[in-house]
Amino acid sequence: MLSLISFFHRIQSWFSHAEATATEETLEDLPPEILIKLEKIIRKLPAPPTYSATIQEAILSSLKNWEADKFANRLVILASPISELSTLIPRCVPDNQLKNVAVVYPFSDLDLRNKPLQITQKLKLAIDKAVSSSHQQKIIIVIPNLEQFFLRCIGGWDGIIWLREYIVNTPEHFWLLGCNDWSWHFLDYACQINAYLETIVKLPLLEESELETWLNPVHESITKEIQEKLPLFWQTLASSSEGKSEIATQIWLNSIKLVISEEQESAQLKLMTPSLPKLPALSASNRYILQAILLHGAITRYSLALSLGEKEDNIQAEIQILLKEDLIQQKAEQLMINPIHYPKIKQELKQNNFLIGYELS
Amino acid sequence: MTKLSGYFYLFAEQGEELSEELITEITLEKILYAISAIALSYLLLVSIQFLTTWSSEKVPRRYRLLIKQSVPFWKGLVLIITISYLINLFLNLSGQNLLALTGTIALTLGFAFKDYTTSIIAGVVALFEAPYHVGDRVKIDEHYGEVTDFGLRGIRLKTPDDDLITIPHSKIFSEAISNSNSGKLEAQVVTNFYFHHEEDTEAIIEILYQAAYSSKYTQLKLPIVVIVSEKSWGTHFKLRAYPMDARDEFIYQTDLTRRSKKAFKQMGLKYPNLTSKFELTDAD
Repeated sequence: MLSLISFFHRIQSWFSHAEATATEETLEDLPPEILIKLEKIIRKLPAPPTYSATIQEAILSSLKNWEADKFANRLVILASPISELSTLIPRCVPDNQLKNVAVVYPFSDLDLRNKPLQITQKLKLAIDKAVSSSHQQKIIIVIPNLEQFFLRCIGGWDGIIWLREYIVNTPEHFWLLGCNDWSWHFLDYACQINAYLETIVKLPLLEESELETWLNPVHESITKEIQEKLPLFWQTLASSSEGKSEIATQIWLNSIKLVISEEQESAQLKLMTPSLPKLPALSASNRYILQAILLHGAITRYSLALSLGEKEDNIQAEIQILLKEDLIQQKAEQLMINPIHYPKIKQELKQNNFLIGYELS
Repeated sequence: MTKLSGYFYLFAEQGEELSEELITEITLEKILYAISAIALSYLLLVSIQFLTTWSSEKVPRRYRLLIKQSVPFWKGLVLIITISYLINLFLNLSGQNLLALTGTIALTLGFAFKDYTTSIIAGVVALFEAPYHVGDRVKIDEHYGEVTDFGLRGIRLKTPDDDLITIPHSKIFSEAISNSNSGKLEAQVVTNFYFHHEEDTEAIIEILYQAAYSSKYTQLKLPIVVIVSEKSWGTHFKLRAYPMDARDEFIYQTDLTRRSKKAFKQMGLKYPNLTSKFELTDAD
């Protein structure tokens, strides 16, 4: 049903673009400085209520089970590779409802993938340090992004194998793990992680009303004059973003255009029908790079080269092209997929026989 | 013998009797129509070959083989329509004439173009039995490669060295056809490794599994297996796994070997000491 609506809106969006060109107005993207400011404002918004409700409910219910059965000591939250679980999970942990329980983040400062064979040793040290520094008897150990602690190379997931055994054998601690669903799918083939860490909650998809409630404070402040299209706008935004807040944010930013008209002296804002940008033609090696980035979430060039089994120099040129095409982004040496391209990249990889993530529903 | 010669005589006699009724009046207009039909069908056949090859390389992998496999169907359709049109144009096909004509054609082709006819018939059999499709990776005799074209008489194989080999369909009657992927995108790739008898088998198997799971080419949805066998010269390990695209076969083998050798080097594993006494065979 969702795909049908999406198809309908895609057709509708073609006509919408045609209408814009017919009026001889020049439409321009928002200036980069405004986009950066808006992105900062959105980042400061509280997590979408549906996300926090789902995560909190899952944590409280799992803790209750842990009270009754000490071996029910784990919960995994799965989300797509573009979801920012590393910030979402800490924001959604219900600290005020956890009495006499310490919440620790042992791996928050670790960058382990540059030396994959040392991951296990460093994980052990970090856990011992975190547990010994806590004064509470009950400890919740939070790892918001499990995908940061393995690499697709020989010995690269030994740390995960050690961790899964350790979690199962330490019923005195509760483990809250977040993971990219592409990594989870891979790890399930490589080391049967599902058989050990079986309590899984998938991050829900946001409905149009939920997206509207979440984004409206920013949306209203910037688009006061243009209200007539709104119900259809939110519907289209929800379907084209596949209910994922990170994609919706980017599409929303992309749908606000500056109208430059010769008759009017000042520029006006125009709200376009939300749509996904066209994916450029990809070569076979482009696809392998994109899949590796999606598999690992944010990753440095060096670690990416290790995952692909190539020398770093061999992939530099292609990475530059992908950055230029805006398919990937670079933040503090870490490469990641541009969320607005995620739905089409996923589709492209699926059509080309690649292993993608679990279908979240 | 007398019975057979009697049939030949009957056909020949019928051929003479029916020749005037069988062939319709030949006019300049009909000849022009026939030439046009042949030119059009040739153009269509060339276009089909070009379009299917071009489009199959443009679409996602999932649809590549689907498009390639449709080539024999479209070519067959064009040929049947053209031949039917030409027959209808020049021949008067009553039931009796048809019987006489097929008999005469069968005799002529049987003697003059025996091998060619066998290959064409084998081509029709190959269409239904499907020992190979366009896009499959097959081994016939000592030739291995990807089937790039399915013609009336034979197929064309593109070998890993980029040679183009034409093999008649009639080979399906006499030779074993080894097909690696049978219409699927993935084909099993076997990579061989050899070690000294004394080396730790379990550790080697673990590395080989990890090499396969970590290769970017591996189709993880399909099984990965390591087979071990003892030989007089050492221990032989076969890593069986599937790349996501059968075309990546050799680059996949290279990737698996590179990854594994790096780990084996770190472990300091010894390779077998081969002397002139021991020779590896194809089975190894």
